[in-house]
Amino acid sequence: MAVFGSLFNNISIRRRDGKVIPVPIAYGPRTKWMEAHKTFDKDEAMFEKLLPRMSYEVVAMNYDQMRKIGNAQKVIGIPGEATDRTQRMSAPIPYNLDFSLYIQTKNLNDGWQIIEQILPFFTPSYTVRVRHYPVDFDSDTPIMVNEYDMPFTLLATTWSDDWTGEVDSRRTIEWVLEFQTKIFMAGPAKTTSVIYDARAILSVPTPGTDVSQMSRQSSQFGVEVGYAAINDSETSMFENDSDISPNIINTTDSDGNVVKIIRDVEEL
Amino acid sequence: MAITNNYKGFAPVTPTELASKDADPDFGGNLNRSVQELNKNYAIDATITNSYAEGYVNQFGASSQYSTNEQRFVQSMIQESININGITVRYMPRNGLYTDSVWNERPESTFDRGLQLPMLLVSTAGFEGEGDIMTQYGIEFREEVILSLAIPRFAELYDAYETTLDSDRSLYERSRPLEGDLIVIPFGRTANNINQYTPKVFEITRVTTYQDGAFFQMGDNYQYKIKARLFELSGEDLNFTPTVVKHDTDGTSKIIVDSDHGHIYDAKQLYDSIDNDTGIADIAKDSDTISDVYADNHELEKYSQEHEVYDNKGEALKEKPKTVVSDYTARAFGYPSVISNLDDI
Repeated sequence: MAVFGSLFNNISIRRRDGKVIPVPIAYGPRTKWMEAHKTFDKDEAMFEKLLPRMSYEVVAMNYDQMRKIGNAQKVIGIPGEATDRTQRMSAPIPYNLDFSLYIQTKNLNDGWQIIEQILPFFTPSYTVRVRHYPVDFDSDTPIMVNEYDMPFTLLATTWSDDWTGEVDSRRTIEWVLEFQTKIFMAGPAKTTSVIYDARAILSVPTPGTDVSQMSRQSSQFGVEVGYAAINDSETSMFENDSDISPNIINTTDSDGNVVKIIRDVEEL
Repeated sequence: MAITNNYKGFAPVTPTELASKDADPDFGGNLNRSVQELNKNYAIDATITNSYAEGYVNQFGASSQYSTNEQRFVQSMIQESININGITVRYMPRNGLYTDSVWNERPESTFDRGLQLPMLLVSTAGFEGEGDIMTQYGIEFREEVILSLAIPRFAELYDAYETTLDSDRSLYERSRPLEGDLIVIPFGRTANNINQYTPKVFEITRVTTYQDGAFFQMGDNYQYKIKARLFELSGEDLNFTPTVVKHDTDGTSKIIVDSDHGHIYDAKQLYDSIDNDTGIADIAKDSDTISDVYADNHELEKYSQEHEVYDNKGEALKEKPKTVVSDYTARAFGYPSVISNLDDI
């Protein structure tokens, strides 16, 4: 919501006498009793209102089936810092958010000045890159810094000007711009263990063992064909079997589990 | 038999006390309350002219049935009634050197200091209009008033005012109150509950001389009926600022509107970002100061980019989240990645 408003918070009107009038913008809906306090705000009650002025509100929120990917898909979190645990989340749910931007001015010239500062930037979309998780409630929890492109598409521009009627009746000049934003609603992030060391191993059964009879407990003979690992300084290390090819040592611990000692990686 | 008035236990307000209630030096004295002022106004030369000659022939329309004398009498009664029951308002004529002939409007209007006029607030039961309305932009005070002003009194006072204008006179010439001019009504200026009232700035929407139920009575119209609505301020310069003081319960008071505070002052400050000679925005001046007094938009920007976040215990986190990390469109147009300041453009 705030991002949408911030797209339009630098609009100003230029008058011929050299005045630059910044156009205030605020989220439209608000608590009535808080607003009613202004009745006794002496500087507020002196005038009917201050113009020009802009406000915006969310008017609709619809599920966007076109952008949905399967539930089994996971998004792997990009860690904010190297020491963060890896996180993942379920595929985020795509939604379309419809915004209306209201612009009220006292003069037509003012209004067109505002409009011409908005329309050229929407081609027809204005795209910003935002984070799925801007913040976590707790500083100690690492946050994923995954980002996505969020387009704001200008769908329609309409205006109304009730200049006809009784001479002393109120005239309101108002533009309404309708936008659609494509957002993702991200579910909770889960922490997963970090794989520091990944190796591919080519192995064969021990002589005389049928492959079809093998289980995870079976002894094997093989060589490591390479590995990828990271050390504490975040430097990735890659190797191949021409550099190092230790034999797999099969052993059994006191509980009967097979332990495959591959190699002692000193760097870790 | 002579009538003797004998008031006991009645302590009228002293002139000193009255003067101290006008706690607004900018506004001046109160035309209506001062008995001396009232008496001065009625020092009219009585020249009685009867013109009943050939009254049975309608020579000059309906007005020929009535004598000038009667019309003057009614006029002076009305004027006296306005002075006694009315209020002193400030009338500010509109001045706009430039009229937009395409859009038929005059955005760059200024309002000179103006003059005081005695007017009768016709609406006695409250403001006309729709009242306080909640709109998309917040609360709107849709208040309207109907004011009554004696026709010759306007001419008399305004002509006197015009003579003080010297070279600017042609900009402000008025033969009647004009639509678009402003009227400042100093509500509560002399009230005991002064903290409850606010001077209000009205814009004239319609001026007529044909009154409801008083249509050419005695062959003449005697007063302007002025319909006015609270002004919508849109960067216009008001060269008169009533003083508004907020009184707190602890006895302290604070000036919230005068020539250095409030929206009228803010509207004048908007010039500052422009170089007067070249007409180009002077980005060396901090536009944040300018825009924040009038628009206060930077909070929104901050919220979208790095707003304060609180944990479960209500304590602010050290880290401020950055929601927007890049702005493709702004970059494509050659602006910095994320525009956060007017000066960046």
